[in-house]
Amino acid sequence: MDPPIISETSFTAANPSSYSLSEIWPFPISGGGGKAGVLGLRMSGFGEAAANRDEESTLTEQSGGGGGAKRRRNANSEDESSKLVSTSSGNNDLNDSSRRRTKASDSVSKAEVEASSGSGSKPVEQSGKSSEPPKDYIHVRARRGQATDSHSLAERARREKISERMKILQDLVPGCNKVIGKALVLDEIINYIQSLQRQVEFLSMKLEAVNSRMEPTMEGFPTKNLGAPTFDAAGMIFGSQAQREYAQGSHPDWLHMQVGSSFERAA
Amino acid sequence: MTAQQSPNPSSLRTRFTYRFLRALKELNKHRSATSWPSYRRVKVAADASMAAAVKSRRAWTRAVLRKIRRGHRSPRWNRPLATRELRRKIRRNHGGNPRKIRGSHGDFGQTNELRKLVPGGESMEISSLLGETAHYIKCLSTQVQVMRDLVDLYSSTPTS
Repeated sequence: MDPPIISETSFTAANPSSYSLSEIWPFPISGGGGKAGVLGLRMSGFGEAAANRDEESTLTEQSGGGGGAKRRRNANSEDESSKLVSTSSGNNDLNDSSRRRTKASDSVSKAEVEASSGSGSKPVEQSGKSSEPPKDYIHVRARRGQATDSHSLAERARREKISERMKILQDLVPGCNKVIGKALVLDEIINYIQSLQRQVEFLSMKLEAVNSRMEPTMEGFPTKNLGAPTFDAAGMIFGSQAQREYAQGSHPDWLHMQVGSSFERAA
Repeated sequence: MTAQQSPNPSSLRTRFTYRFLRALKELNKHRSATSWPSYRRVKVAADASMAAAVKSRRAWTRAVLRKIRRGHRSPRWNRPLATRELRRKIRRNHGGNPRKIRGSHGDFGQTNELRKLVPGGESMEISSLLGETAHYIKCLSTQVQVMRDLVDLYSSTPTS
């Protein structure tokens, strides 16, 4: 386990144009290599990558057009230190898979570069090997500038799920579509739930009051009374118009039927 | 009951209404049996009917049913803590629930408030909490509509 020493100076010689070493290919490809050492190096390379983020992205643009990027594979490299190495033309930021493919086809040299994440905060899982380009891509929904390691992917999936459900909730809660911002939407949702729960409480009080006297008359209940439901107290007090509109659907005659039949059955 | 008039016999609303009416009838029968304030009993009946109509497929209905079952044993104020509950309380005090901790520093500050409102929401992960919230809102509004219609129905009844 001798981790190859990778420093900036060792690369400035090789790549005069590159500004820094920001990434290290974390996986020993041809069997050798010290993983622990690599990981340590990755950690040390981190802050640097984050610091150079902006520079990186602009550089990516340039080198993408020129095709000057060299992704190097270390499979048949001779010395240990080049096994894990680095970028040659200052092109560290390869997240777009199509871009990656062009890079891969261009590449002729031996050391492979790990693409850094666009945000610069996370190490990226390498998904393309340069010698056999097309088949070992991992297909992810990552636009350029998005991290592609598994944690970031999971996190992004989770966030997508959350925002999708927020959207569903927004459709459910009346008047919530115009509200912008998750915090405000959540406030609306909370208010709505609270008002609904208060209504349930209130209605159960009313029902209780009314339930005691309704049973004797239930049998001879006149069916015609149900036609136009009057939304008196409950609707006025809590003032949720959407509820009231909704409740005025084709409901009442049906409900009445339910009531009648269930009571017949029960009696 | 004619078939063309009943919109959807298996809809949530139908099931809830049926159960709720049955529960109300039961309540009327045993009026003075318990010492609860009776509107609480109506509310519990409504919650139980709704939860039973959803059939414990959802986490919140399971929580509601659990709570009702716990509450039914004896009144809340002089009930000794059951061992399971005691254990849960201890665990909560020690912060033993990792999901709760994780959710608490999520993106939103209001999630904790939401957790308190949605039954069983304390131990949910945030995305499932939102899903449960959506379902809960739907059920709650159905409940409110049905109850309001029942109130209207009964209050329009000529009293004997």
